[in-house]
Parts: sequence; structure tokens; C-alpha cells
Amino acid sequence: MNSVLQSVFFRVLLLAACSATLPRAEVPAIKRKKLAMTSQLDFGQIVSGHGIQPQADDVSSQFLQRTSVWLTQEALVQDRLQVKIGVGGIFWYSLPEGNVGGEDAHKLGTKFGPGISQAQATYFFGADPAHAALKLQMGLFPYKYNPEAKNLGEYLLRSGTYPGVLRTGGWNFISTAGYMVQGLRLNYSTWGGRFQSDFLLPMERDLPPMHDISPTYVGSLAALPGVELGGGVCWNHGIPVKPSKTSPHDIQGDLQYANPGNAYFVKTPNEDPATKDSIPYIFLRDTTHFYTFQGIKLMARLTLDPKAWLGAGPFAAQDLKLYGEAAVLGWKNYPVLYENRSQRIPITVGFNLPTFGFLEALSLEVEHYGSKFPDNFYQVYNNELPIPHWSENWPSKDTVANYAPNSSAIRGDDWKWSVYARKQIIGGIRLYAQAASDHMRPYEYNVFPFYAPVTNRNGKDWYYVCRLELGL
Amino acid sequence: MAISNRSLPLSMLIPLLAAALASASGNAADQDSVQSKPLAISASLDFGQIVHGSSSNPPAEFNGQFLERTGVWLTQQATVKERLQLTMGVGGMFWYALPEQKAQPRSLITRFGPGISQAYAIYSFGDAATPWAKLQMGFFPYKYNPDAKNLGEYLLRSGTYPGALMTGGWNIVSSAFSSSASYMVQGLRLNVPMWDGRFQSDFLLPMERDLPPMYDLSPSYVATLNLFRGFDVGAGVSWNHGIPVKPSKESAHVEGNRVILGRTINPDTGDVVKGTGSYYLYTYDSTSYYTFQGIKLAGRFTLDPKAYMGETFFGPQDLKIYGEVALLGWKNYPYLYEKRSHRIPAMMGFNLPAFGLLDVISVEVEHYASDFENTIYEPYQNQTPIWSLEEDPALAARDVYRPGATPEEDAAAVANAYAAAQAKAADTRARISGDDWKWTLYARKQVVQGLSIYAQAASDHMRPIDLDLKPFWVPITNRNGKDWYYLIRLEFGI
Repeated sequence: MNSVLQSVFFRVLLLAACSATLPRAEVPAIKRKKLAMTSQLDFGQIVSGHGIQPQADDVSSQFLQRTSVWLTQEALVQDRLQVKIGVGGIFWYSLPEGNVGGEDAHKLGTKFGPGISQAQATYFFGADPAHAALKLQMGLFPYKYNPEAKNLGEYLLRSGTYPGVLRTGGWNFISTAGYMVQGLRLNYSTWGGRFQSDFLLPMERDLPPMHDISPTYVGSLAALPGVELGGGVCWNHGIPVKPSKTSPHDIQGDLQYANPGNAYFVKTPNEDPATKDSIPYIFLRDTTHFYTFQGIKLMARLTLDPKAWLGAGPFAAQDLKLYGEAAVLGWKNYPVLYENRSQRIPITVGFNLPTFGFLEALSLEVEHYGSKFPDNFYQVYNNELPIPHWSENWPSKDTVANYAPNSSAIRGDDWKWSVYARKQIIGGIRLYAQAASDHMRPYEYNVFPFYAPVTNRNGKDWYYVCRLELGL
Repeated sequence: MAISNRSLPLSMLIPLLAAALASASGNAADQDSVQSKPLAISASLDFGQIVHGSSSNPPAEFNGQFLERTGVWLTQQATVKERLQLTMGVGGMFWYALPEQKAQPRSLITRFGPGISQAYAIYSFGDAATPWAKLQMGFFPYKYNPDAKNLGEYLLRSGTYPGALMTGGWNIVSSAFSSSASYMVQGLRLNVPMWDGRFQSDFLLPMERDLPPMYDLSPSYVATLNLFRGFDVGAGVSWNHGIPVKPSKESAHVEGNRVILGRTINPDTGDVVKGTGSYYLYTYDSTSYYTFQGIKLAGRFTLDPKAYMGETFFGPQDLKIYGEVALLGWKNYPYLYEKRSHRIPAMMGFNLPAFGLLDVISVEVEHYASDFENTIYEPYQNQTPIWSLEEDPALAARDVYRPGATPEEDAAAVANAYAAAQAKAADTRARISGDDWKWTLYARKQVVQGLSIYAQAASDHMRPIDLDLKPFWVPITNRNGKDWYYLIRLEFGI
């Protein structure tokens, strides 16, 4: 019934909104832009990196290479409906490459992954569509609330809640700080454009359970010259298409698949005199309460551009900008697994180093995320459970087995960093470079991402990628 | 070099035909005489749910399963010297395999399926503006019933032996840029209009690309007559798999394809004799085999009473009544194809009055009283032109004996297995008798130019695609009065 209501609700909203301001044009007017074409050639290397079980492969020194082409056609219908459609694909290589002399020859070959880059329409309301205060965007489109973020950040939408897994990269190595929304976005602009409100209804397409709708609001305010503030709230999986998947009641579990079930863990003092000194607590299960994927995420961000007060001087447009973002991945606390809200707050700070016009941008970003669990979505994908994955051994589902919150695997991945540079050579040619230790998850041969990032160990793992981008 | 008596293969026919056309038109094409239309772009976003559905083979439940697909298509059209129209489209679709499986993360991820939407040319003979004939060649959508939204169009989008019906596939909803109730022809179509266009003849040579055996040609003829104002009739005949590329595949001479004369009956008791294999014991004609080849017939009509009403407040599609009936295989064969009346799908549709609030709102109903479940298992799995036969429950009891078990434990295991198999057989029989009726409710509304919304609710022959890119053998909304789905499409494009 939920799915019926949600489908009907926003379709009716769209229909009513469009019909209310529809002028009955007598003569169709379609203005087409020239076909835009873009090609990106990425070359790089994972200098040091590794996966974790069940993908425990050392990918250090692994070369990275992708080649992509995208064609985008844009058109404007009656000056009011903008349509943008893009298709293309990527030549890519799966990781790991496979064993030499084994039966993995097929893993070495070049693969091609076609795709849709965007399929969106935007309707402009009001008497003057060129300066519309209200716009409705629909379809599959890129959405970015933090214009400064290059690689890290943008976690209001590109993260889980329970568990709070973070993602960067994916099919695009560089300039990935954004989210592909499949759904609706209503943008309202006031105060001369200085205050922007986005009401979004994105449909989940990255982390199970799929297809749920996460109502979201994002506001941005150009408060003062050189100061921009933003905030957002997302009710992740707020409108589930199948409530039993969004809030499963898995009591049984299945240890064969490292599935402990998702009933609450209950921390209880160990009363066994023989073991209580070495094991002060045991974890029982409360099978009347269950963890859920559903939750509230919050975000706040800030951008400062001191050039607004100092004058541009010799600095380029992007130089000296200081920006930051913090998010809360799941407002509500739950026993044991999600007890401490402060451990669910990724914080990103970035700074655009001065290049004096030599580069379009040179940014350094740093992130801290003090989660007490590994950034691993094994449980989400494999068992469709809203719990973290913290161990490779599951002797019993009644204990938080082998959980070591101070282990290097958990504390040693709190910090991430990214250095990014961009330079337009001439019109139609641009160079990018990025070095980072982030949440990149390569793709395996079966087109499935690694469960955990491969550059995850603080001060040890990192990669670099250079991109040659051609296009009109 | 040996000289063959065989007819020219299709691979040679098309280039020869093209060369003939080129010479008939005179000089080589002048680059300046090419007129290209602007690139057409379209995108569709489908959202819906299988409210109730299941599969018997493989067993799976789909109740509440969400459906979602996002497709994009680019189409370029050009005309050469006002005579040769070229149309080519490519694109693809984000989709999700079904069913979603626990501990099978690959079943959850978003998938992309690229494709060719169409690739064809149309050559006009005679006066380019009013040609006396048009030859269409390549890969193109063909639809002989302009009013069918989801059900119907059986002449080409069905099997013969067996008479499996299909709807949906990669396109579940009919829209401006693609019709679900149509057939993608890969081959040739010669259209000859007569009587000022009121009588249309289509001579088709489609190549099989949906149901094995692949690549066979099925010569077909479809006629449409605008008999009088507000009344269209049509008819067609298709010689399914009439020109096989490998005749041995048409009628495989294998044990599983022998013509069945009937179940073996014990002459003393009159009971059906059980076998030791999967199935009941059958009596065969070991000199005859079933064949995929056969004749299909179709007839249709459309009646638009508005033609007699004068000016009204009805929309152009309102009040149309349309229907279609087909015969899937004229010739009878023993046991599996004994009764022609059980191979006749019939469909009726009615466009409810929408008074311009919607472009169209239609109800379609279909009846197909086949004796067997609508499955494509045998043509795909064993490449035999037969329906799946009912399994003998005794089979299940055959392999439940465990080493070391006591006779009592064995007996209990056998009894349990037999009961489960009997339940499965009963379920199959219920599915066979309970799948005769199908229905569709369809609506369409153009919101603004370039943006349309579609909605469809149905219990039809939809077969989702599984993790191995294979369609389910049996439709998943197949049980009368129980199974159905709905889908809403947002489509934009120019």
C-alpha cells in the first residue's frame, strides 16, 4: 500500500503542478543545443591498498585505467521544459586481476560498461521561465549541494545511515563529490537567489534496500559576501517500498553467511566467575527489537571566501576558499551498534590553495570519521541487514564476536585525505589530477564493488589518478 | 566448387535487393540530397510493483516486489533523395534482476542493458510522396493493431507449437516512443496500399529472435481494411518457422519430442500406468515428432462509434471498441495439440471515455483456454516444440532414501516427499486451469509537449529477467483473480 500511495502521490503532484501553469501553446517550439560529447581517459595507480575478506586481495601497485565517452543532448521545449539525456560508456578493468597461470585469464580483458549519464527534465514555473523561482527537476540527474567539494563530503545522500557507510568514486574516479538522484527535486529560490531550497525525493539505487524513497531537504544561504551556509536533513529510507526489507526482523540469522540476525544486542555484565575478569561483558539478544535501515541524516556546511573582503588581487576565482561539511548519519541511537552519535559524524574540511591562475583549482581535503566499525557494507548487500560488518569469524550470533573497537582495522581508518588539481589547457581539453586515501571501492569481475574501501589504512594506503578530458 | 540447389540464403538476399534498388533509382546518391532530422531523444522512468505474483518454474514469490527501470534512447532519422528513409536508434536501460535473493548481492545491484531500439530503412517505390509500395528492411517495430495497448498482437508475438504468449519483456508499458503491444521484426516488410490507402497489405519476412529455434523465417501476410467510417477490420496469416535455417531443429528427432498418443492405461484396471521416470508412462508414435512449424491466423476489428455521433465532448480515442482473435497452429497433433479451440487467444478492449482529461484510458481482457501452463521452458531448455508435461509425484520419492536410515524413517521420508510432490502437481494443475483470463488497465496523459505520464495495471504474460539475463519460463502474474502488477511511467523526450 505504501508503494501505491507513494507512486500515486508524487505523480499526482507532478501532474497538478504542471497542469496548473501550462499555457496552451499553439505552435510547438523546440530549441536544441548542439550534441555535447565528452571523453575521459583516466590513468593512475593504487600505490598501496588492499581489500578485506572476502575480497582480501592486495591491490598495491595496481594500475588504474578507464576510458569513457558520453554524448549528451539538451533541448528546451516552449522555453519551459528543459530535457537533457546522456548516454555513453566506459572501458574498464576489474580488480583484482587474477592469478598468473591460473584460470583467471578472463579477468584481465578490457571490459565495457555502457550507461546513462543522465535522463532528466526540468520544468520552469512562473510567468518568466528564464528567471523561474520554482523549478521541478525529474528523472536521473546529478545533484550537488556543496559546490566546493571535489572528492570527500556530500554525505547527506551518498552514505548509509544504519550502518553509516561512506562512498566516494564508483564508476567515476575524479570530481565525484555528488549524488545521482533518481526521483524528483523541487527547487525554490528566494531573496534574489541567495536562499535556495531543494526538496528532494530520491529513490535508493546504490545501497539496499533498493527503491525506497528518502525525502530530503537541503537549504543554501549566501549569508554575506564570501560566506555561504548550507544545511540539510534526509529521512533515509523514509518511504519504503517493502517495509519488511527496510526494517527486517531477522531473528534466526545464518552463520554460514556471517549473518547474526538484526535483533538488538544487549550489553550485559558477565556473571561467570571463571571468565568475567577477562570478559567483563557479554552480549545477549533482544528479539523483540530490531535495527532498521530507516533513519534521519543531518548535514551542515560552510564556505568562506576571504577574497570577498580582501579583494581578488592576484588570486584566481577558486583560490583561498575554505570549506567544510559535517553530517550526522543517523540521529537516533540504538543499543551497542549505534550507541554514540559522535561516532557517526564524518567531518570534511577543504582548502583551495592559491594557484594565481596557473591552475583552475588546487584543493586539499581532509576528513575524519570516528566510526567504531569498519566502513564495510557486506551485511547490507549480502544479508540485507542494517548492521555493520566487524568480523570475519562468527562463532555465535549471541555475542559481538571478535569485536575489537581499538584494533587498527577500526581506529586506523578514521582519517582520509584528497589532493585535487584541475587545469584547462585550451577550450575542449582539460587535465585533472587526484591523489587520495578515500572510500574508493573498485569493481570486481562480476561488476560488484568491493565491500570495503581499498585505500583504508591511515598513512599507508593511497592512490593517484590523472585524467585527460576532451569535449565540447 | 559445388553448386547447391538450395535457395539463396538471406545473408545474400538483402545486399542483392539493396543493389537492385540502388540501380533502379538511377545515379549514385548525391550527398546534397540527404536530409537529416534533428536527433530524437527520449527517456523513460518506470516505477511499479508486482502486488501479487509467483513463478512455478523456477519456484519464486514476488509479492510486493518493486519494479523499476530507467531507459534512454537516441534516434536519428534521415531521408536520402526523398525516397530512402533511414532510422537508427540506440540506448539502454538501468534495470534490476528478479528475484532479489538473500546472500546473493549480485541480485541487488543496478544493472545496465544497452540495446538497439531500431535500425531500418524504408524504400518508397514510385512517386516518393504517394508510393505504390514501400519496402522496409532491418530491425523495426511492427504493429498491426493500432489500438492494442498491452494484450493482443498474437500473430507474431507468440509461439505456435507450443502456443506461448508474451507481453512486456524489456518494455512493459506502451508509450509514444515504444509500444509494448507490438513485435520487433528483424527482416523485411513490403507494404502495398490500395484503395486510397484504405486497404493495406503487409508482406513480412521476419526472422525469429525471441523463441527458439532462432533465425528461422516466418513468411507472414497482414491485411487491414478501413471498411467504412469508424470501422476497421484486419486479418493475417503467418507460416511460423516456415523457412528454417536448420530443418533438423524444427522437429528434433529425439526421445523427448516423440508424438504422444496418450497416457498408458492398464487394460485390466483402467488406471493410468505410472512410470519410473519424471513423467507418467506415455504411449508414443516413435515415427513421428512434434514440430515448431505451423500456421497461425489472426483476425481483428476496431469500431469507433464517434464516427456517427458528430461533434462531441469525447476525446479522439474515447469509446473505441477493439478485439482480436488468433489461432496458434491450424493443424492438430495428438495429445498436446488436439483441440484447435484450446489454441485460440481472444482479446477485447474498450477505451473508456476520458473527455480529454486523459489521452486514453483502456480496459483489455483476454481469454486463452490452453490445456497447459503458458511456459517457454521446453523450447528454450530442450529446444522441443512441446508444452511441459505434468510430473509424476512418485519421482520425488525416488531419491529420499538415506544410508543408515531405518525402514520407518525411509517410509516417513518417502511419504513426506510424495505428499510434497502431490501438492506441487496439484498446484500446477490449479495454475493451468486458473490462468485463462488476463486483463489490463492502461492510461496515458500528455502533461506538456515533451512530457507524458503512463499508468498500467495488469495481470498478463509478463516474464521478468533473472540474474542470468534469461526470462522466467512462466508469466509471474498468472493466477486469475490473484496476481497483478502496476507500473507508472514518466516519459520525456523530443
